[in-house]
Amino acid sequence: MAHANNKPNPLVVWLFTTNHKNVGILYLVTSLYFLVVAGILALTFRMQLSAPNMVFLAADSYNQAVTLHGLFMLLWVTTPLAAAFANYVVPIQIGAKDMAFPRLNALSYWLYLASGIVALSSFFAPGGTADWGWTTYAPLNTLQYSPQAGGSLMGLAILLLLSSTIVATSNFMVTIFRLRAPGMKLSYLPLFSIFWLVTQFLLLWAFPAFAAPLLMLVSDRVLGTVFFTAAEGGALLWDHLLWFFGHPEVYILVLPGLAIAGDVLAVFSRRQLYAKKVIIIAVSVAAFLSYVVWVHHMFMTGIHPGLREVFNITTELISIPFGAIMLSYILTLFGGRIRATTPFLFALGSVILFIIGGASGVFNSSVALDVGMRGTFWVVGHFHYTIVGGGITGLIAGLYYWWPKMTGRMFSEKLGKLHFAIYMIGFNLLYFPMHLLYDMPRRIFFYDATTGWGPINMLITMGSWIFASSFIILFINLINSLRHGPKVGDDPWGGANYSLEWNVPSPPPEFNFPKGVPVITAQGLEFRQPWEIKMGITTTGGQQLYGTTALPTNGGSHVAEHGEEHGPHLSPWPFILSIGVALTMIGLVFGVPLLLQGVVIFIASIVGWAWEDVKEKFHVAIEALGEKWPFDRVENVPLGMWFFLFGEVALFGPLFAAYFFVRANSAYTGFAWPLPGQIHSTVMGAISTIILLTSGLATSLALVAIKNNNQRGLKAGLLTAFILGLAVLFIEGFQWAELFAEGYTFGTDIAASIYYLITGIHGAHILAGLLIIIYLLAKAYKGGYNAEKHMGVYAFAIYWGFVVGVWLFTFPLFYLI
Amino acid sequence: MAAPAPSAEIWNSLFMMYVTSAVVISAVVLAILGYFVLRYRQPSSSLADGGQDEPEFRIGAEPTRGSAKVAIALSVILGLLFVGLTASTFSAMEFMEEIPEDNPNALHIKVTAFQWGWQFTYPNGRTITGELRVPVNTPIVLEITSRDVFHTFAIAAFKVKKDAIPDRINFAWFEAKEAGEYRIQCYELCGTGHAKMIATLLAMETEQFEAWYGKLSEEKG
Repeated sequence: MAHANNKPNPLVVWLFTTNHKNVGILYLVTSLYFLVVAGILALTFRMQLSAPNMVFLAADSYNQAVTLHGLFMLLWVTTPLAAAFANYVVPIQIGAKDMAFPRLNALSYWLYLASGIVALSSFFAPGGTADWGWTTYAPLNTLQYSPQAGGSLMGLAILLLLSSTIVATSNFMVTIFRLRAPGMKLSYLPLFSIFWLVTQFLLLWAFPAFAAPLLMLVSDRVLGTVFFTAAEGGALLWDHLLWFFGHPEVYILVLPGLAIAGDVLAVFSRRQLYAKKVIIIAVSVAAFLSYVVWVHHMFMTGIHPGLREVFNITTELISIPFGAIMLSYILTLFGGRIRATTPFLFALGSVILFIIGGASGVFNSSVALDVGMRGTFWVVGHFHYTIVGGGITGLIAGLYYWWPKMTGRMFSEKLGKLHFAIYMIGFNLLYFPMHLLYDMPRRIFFYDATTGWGPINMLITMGSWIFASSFIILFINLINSLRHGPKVGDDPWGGANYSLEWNVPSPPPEFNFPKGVPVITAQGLEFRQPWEIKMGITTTGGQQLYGTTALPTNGGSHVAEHGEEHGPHLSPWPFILSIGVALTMIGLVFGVPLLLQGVVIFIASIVGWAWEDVKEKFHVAIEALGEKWPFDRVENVPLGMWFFLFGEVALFGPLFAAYFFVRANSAYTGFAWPLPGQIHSTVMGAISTIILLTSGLATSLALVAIKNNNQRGLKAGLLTAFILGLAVLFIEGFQWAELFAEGYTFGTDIAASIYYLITGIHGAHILAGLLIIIYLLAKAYKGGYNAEKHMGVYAFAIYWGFVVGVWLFTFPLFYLI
Repeated sequence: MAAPAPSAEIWNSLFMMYVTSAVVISAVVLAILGYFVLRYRQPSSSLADGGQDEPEFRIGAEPTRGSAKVAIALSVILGLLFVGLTASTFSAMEFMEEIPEDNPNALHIKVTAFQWGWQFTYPNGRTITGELRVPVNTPIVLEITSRDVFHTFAIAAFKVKKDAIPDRINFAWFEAKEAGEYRIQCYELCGTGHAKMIATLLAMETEQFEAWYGKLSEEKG
């Protein structure tokens, strides 16, 4: 790879790229592909529903089509489409040359693609794929009722997607917080970057929280635990955990599209956003509220009426911040000079459809009306208006808006407007009549003529054809533009004063800013040379910058400024690692040879990646010279680790919550929870605790040592931590083996299930830690760390502290109480 | 419209109240939006300059536009409206959810959902599948559970709905005003038979019901 940066093979570039713009385009193409797949699935089941007594899809095909449509649109289409734009423009909008961790960025993409391929392959597993609806309600999702292996494979695919997202999230947070241009305060960013940051906070808490029940589900299906079959867990355990994730997920889907709508409305009306600060506060409030509304999805489950009233109120409260955002958007247009271009029209469409979706959502927040609405087509209509109408329409506005930036070519305005007209007609014909079917259950594949639902369904199905055909116009327009579109300059829309991406060439060069480092001053945007910034010459008038311009204290000696100083912007390992993971998962169902190949490739890629790092072959050091508030004092790597661990908290939190849930329920079901010491040896647990605490101390000592440039201390500390960690794993394994020998296995009872799951996941974290120590030791022996450069050790120390901390919760729950 | 059950009547009037406010508010908001777009739209020829005329915004400028007061005031108005809607929701819910447990006339029926059908067990032990027979003008209390997976019991015409969850009993109640046949259907995906998980609710005149069931008064204790 060393010589590849001169004239690399295009295939090599696309497979091994770590450049945020290339990754963005990969996300764009892939998510649009999945959009087409999931859309075609929808067309098939709309066909089945078009008339009473229809025979087009059988019940099991119908259920699989509905399930895959939902899962794909939610997980593999909407957020990745937003991520495509975020990858492409957010680094430019904040004034960075790339993401903070380019290789992890590539890894996020390839894991995303791998997860999508695994999910699609589940279709071809014997018995088909998941057929329980995207909500995957328990206990229909257990082996007893859905024995097909494709269901388990789908569970694994989602887990893989979630892990891809967590990697991306930590990366984006570090990027947006720490790589901003000098003078670029957070509030100066366009809405897209701001909302994307808010979305990352939502992702960081919601997605790991979804991983927890999925881990339980996969372990139920593969290992035989009893989370969703036991009375103590069962349907309600799944419900709570799913919907805790489920409502933030809605905002994850909607916010990026709405943000684009706001930016586009402002740019094309030539006016400032109305009350931008109110918008920012409102979106933050809405994001927070989304964590305290999940029970409104469970009004019919027989939970306490008082609880329902509380959640009714929190849910209605949500309409206030969103109302404020919509009103600000509308007032933005007041007194503007509006150019009704295609992006503007789609932004407008997004606002209109979201307002309608918001109005129908108020109905759903009402506990009384929900009696009628829940599980009906009203709900289907409502959430398509918000997610597709508000979210996807906004993303399409973004696609048109940034298309000339990404390709350097303009599209046909005529076709764009035609697309918009047909899109709006199709959309409303497709989703509005669903509100009239407020008695028709969702997800039925069949109804008879006596219901009277036939004519409206026919209308809806016709709408689905019109809506789908509008996308053909979109694709024709884009492909035409690629070949024959007129070339555009830096700023085809007149957005240069709005956000940074319109101040660089279309498409931008590898490191985005050929004119120098963008600097935001009281006069506006200027480009300065890096040496000028380092010498403190920040503006033409020599004025101080806004905010806190932290200059590298070490003189920036290892700060790479120009493309030539970077290593090759390519790494094969994210791609190869993802192949390994995908083959491993697919092999679980389709055969051991695939599985073995996958495992070998996976391990090889980990070793290869670590080696690339130890040898420091890949060093696209994206150091910024600008704004880092509020994380001025934390380096990128530890900050990324902190964010990652916040995600980990959101994983372990629901696991512990599940523990308390099933334990509290056992009082009602009459299950005798084991007494302390009855099953798990308290002495053994205490020994593990002491050893783990000691290993934490050893890690801290290693960190202190290297801060003082003490190489031997570093190695000794790491080695000690390694041995102690290994000892804990052995003790843990010994306890498991003993329990198994006594016949106390995964499926013995709910207490056994939760014990094995939590200690198992914790053990996996220890194992991962041990692997990281091996890597750190290898790098330490190569002399890779010194007093200035030891962020890997620092990040590991934080990680290990977290692993020890989780044990301090685990130990009392299983050994003491 | 004449509702076949008090629960449906209350639901319908609440629904109409929500529809009215939703339609009025969305219409006003969308009309303002439409007016702004038409009023401030520039001729498309102005696109020819690439939109380079001086915009109001600038990178790095503190946002100056908009009075937060306007946005907050408008939001408060919306908020007040929602408070009103919530209050009426709660009073409707109180009626729909207040199980008449102590009502001596109430008939208690156990509902067991299964893949794929409904089984109804009466106080006298009589059990039928696929059909629920009840007397009119009598509060019916349902004790709903499931034998296998998660189902949702619903009589759409009456606006009665409750989840049927294994290892759990949920309560719902209704009262039929008019004799007739109504549809009971499952509203949660429960497998391949979900669409056909239908039963008939047969609301009968009291005499007819008693002819089928036996004297009601003897069964209650």
